[in-house]
Amino acid sequence: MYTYDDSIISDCFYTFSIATTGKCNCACTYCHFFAGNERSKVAHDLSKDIYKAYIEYICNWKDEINASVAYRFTGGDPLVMGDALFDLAEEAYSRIGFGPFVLTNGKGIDDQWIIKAKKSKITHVNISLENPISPDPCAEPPINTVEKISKFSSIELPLLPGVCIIEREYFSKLYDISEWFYAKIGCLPTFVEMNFQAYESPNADQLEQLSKNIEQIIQRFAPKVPVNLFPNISSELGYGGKIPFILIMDLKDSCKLASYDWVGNLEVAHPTLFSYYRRLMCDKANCPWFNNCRYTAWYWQVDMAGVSKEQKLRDYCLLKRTINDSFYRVLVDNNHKSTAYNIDTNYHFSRQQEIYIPHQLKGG
Amino acid sequence: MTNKDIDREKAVKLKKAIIEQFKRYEVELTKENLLLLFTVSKSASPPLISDVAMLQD
Repeated sequence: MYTYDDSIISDCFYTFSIATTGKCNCACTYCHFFAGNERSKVAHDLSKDIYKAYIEYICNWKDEINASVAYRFTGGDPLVMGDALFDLAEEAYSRIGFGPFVLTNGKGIDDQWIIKAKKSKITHVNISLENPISPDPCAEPPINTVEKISKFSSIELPLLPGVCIIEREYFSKLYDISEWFYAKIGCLPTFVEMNFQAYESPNADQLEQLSKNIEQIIQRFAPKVPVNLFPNISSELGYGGKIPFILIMDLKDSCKLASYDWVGNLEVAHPTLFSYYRRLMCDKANCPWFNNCRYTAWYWQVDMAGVSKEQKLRDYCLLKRTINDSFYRVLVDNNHKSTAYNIDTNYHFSRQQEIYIPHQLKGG
Repeated sequence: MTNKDIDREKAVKLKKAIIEQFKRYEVELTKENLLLLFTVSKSASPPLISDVAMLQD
C-alpha cells in the first residue's frame, strides 16, 4: 500500500469556471471545445435559470467551505455576449460579494469594451495568446493581443496574459518565445502543452529540449516575473506552492444544480464538479515527486487522439519528471540527477478509477 | 535517513523554493510594477480552458 502525504498539498484554492456562452468569434484548429461540440448546437448562452443556480451554489460554497475561492466566465468566448456579460457580472457580484474574472481570446477587446468593462464588476481579464513562432491561422494573431495588453491594461482592469499553447516541436524554442513575450509585455504567459484531440507524444529529444529551455527560463525570468510552466502537469510549481482546482460549471448543468435542492448538502455536487481530476495510483513511492502525483487532469488517463491511455500516462510521468527536475536543478541543487522512476501503468489501471476530491474538502 | 526519505525531502525543498520565489515578487515588484503584483495576488486563475464536451467521456 503506497500512501501519500497530504500535508504537501494542503493549501488548495478553487476556481469555479462558468461557461457563459458556447459562441466563439475564433475557430482555432486545436480547440477541444468545438472538437466535441457541433458549433451550431452550442451557439447559445447559458440559461438564466442555470446561471442563477450556479451563483447561488458559489455563494453557499464560499460561506460554508473554508478555502480560497474565485469564479470566472468562460465559453466559447464570453465577450461575444456584448453588454449581457456585464449584467451577469453585476448579478453575481450582488449575490457573492466579489466579481468574476474573464477568460477570452481577446479578439473582442477594443476601446468601447474597455470603457464598459472598467465600470463593471469584472475584476480582471485573462487573455489567451498564440505561440508567436507558429500562431494558429484561425486564432487572433499574438502581436494583436500583446498590443491590446500593452495599450489597455490598467490597475482598474488588468489585462493579463493567459495561456499560450506550445506544441512539442516548439519545446526547443520555449526560451525564445519567452523572450518575445517579455520584450512585448514585461511578463510571461502561462505555457501549456498541446493536448486533447491534438495531443502527440513528445520524443526523447523534445524532452531534452524542454528541460534545457525550462532551466534557461527559470534562470533568466524567475528572479523578475512569475513563471508558470505547464501547470496542467505540475500545478504545484506555478502558484506560490498553492494548488489550483478548476470546478467546471458547463452550459448544460452537468452538476444538475438547477434541478434539485442541494442547500445544506454542497458535497453532493463534488463528484461532478471535480470530474476534471482523477486519482493517480502510482507505486513508485521513492520518486521525489510522488506526493505531487496523486491525481491528474482526466485527459492524461484516457485513450485519445490515437494515443493509448497507458502511453498518455507514461507521457505525463515523463513530462512531470522533466519539469520538476528542471525546476529543482535551478532553484535547489544544480547537481540533481534526472529522476528515473517510471509509472507502472498496469498497477494504475488495475485499480478502481476514481474522481479525485481534495483532502481539504473531505474534512480530513 | 533512508534514500526514500532523502528523495521525498526534495519535494519539500522545491516547494519551499517556490514559495520563497513567490514572496520575492511581492516584495521586489511592488515598487516597479504594481500591475504585476496585482497579477500575482489576484489572478487565482488556473490556466485551463473551459471544457464542456470532454467532460462527457
